[in-house]
Amino acid sequence: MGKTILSFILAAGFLAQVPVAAAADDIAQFKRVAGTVFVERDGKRATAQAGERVQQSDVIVTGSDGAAGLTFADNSLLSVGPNSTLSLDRFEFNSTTHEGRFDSSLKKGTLAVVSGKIVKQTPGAMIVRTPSAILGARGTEFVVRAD
Amino acid sequence: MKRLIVMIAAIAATGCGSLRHDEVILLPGKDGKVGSVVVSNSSGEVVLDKAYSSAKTGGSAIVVGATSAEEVGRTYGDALAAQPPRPASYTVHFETGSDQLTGESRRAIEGILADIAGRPSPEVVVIGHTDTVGRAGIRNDELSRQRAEVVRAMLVKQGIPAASVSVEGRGSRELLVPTAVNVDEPRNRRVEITVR
Repeated sequence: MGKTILSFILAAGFLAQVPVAAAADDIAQFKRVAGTVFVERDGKRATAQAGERVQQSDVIVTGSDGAAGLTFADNSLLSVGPNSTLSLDRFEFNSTTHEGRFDSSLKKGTLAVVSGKIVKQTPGAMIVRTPSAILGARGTEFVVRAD
Repeated sequence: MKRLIVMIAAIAATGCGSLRHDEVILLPGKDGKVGSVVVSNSSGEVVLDKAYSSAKTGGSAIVVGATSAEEVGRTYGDALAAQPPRPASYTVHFETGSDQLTGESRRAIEGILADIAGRPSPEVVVIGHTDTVGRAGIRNDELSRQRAEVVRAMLVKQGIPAASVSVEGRGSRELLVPTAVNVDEPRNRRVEITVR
């Protein structure tokens, strides 16, 4: 019994110490969430909250009153306006070499992008797809709309 | 017959153009620098490299144009308003061979704390480095990590949640100022703090 309690306390202590930021699958964090915003993962849809982390393959969906801003592990900033669907198709980033790859798809709506360390290291390594084009980022800031 | 097919094709192309109308606009960077975006699809490739230049896709060709800050604000105002604050980087320095911050760097921590406090859901990445004094490898790896831990402890003591601060040590692998082995270089004895 005593041993069980001890291991429980140890486990709880260990969990408490694990930095949330260190979870291997996390690629970005919601910094701003306004109105209706969902994250779709593995076919399930959940309401997004500021501070929440997202993973590769997640899809961000905003309602007619929604907007959301995400900061990625390479310091890229992506934010979407109302009635938008943004799929985070692929994100790989080596924090030592700054090499990586960032592919996303704006299915509809509006998107603002500030590229980060991945593009600084490798211009063109960030791609945003729209239904009718492929956008290769060679640096800094742009906005995208998909109907 | 042939003419009819051409007409139908033309109508279809026009119809598509008005139905699907994607757009990209290059913006000037916050630092004034303008980057570039390569726009490509089956009809070709276009490079946007001027502030407020735009490309529309979905018709039979990529249509390049120009727009303004006002027009961008009208269409993209909500997306831009949701943009997270820009990440910022700071560097603090240490006394030789130790995990003691220099006096100047100790005072700089105040400003860094204020920056963190002003951000929504802040994250802090602390990366420690050493100069080339002493046996490279394990000793400097430990020292660089220890320096980063000292900075984390200072931030946590001031109320930053420990879970939002991650720590790394890089030893003497990433010198800010390249030197030979065993060189006491204050600028290399540093911790980089990224706040986002």
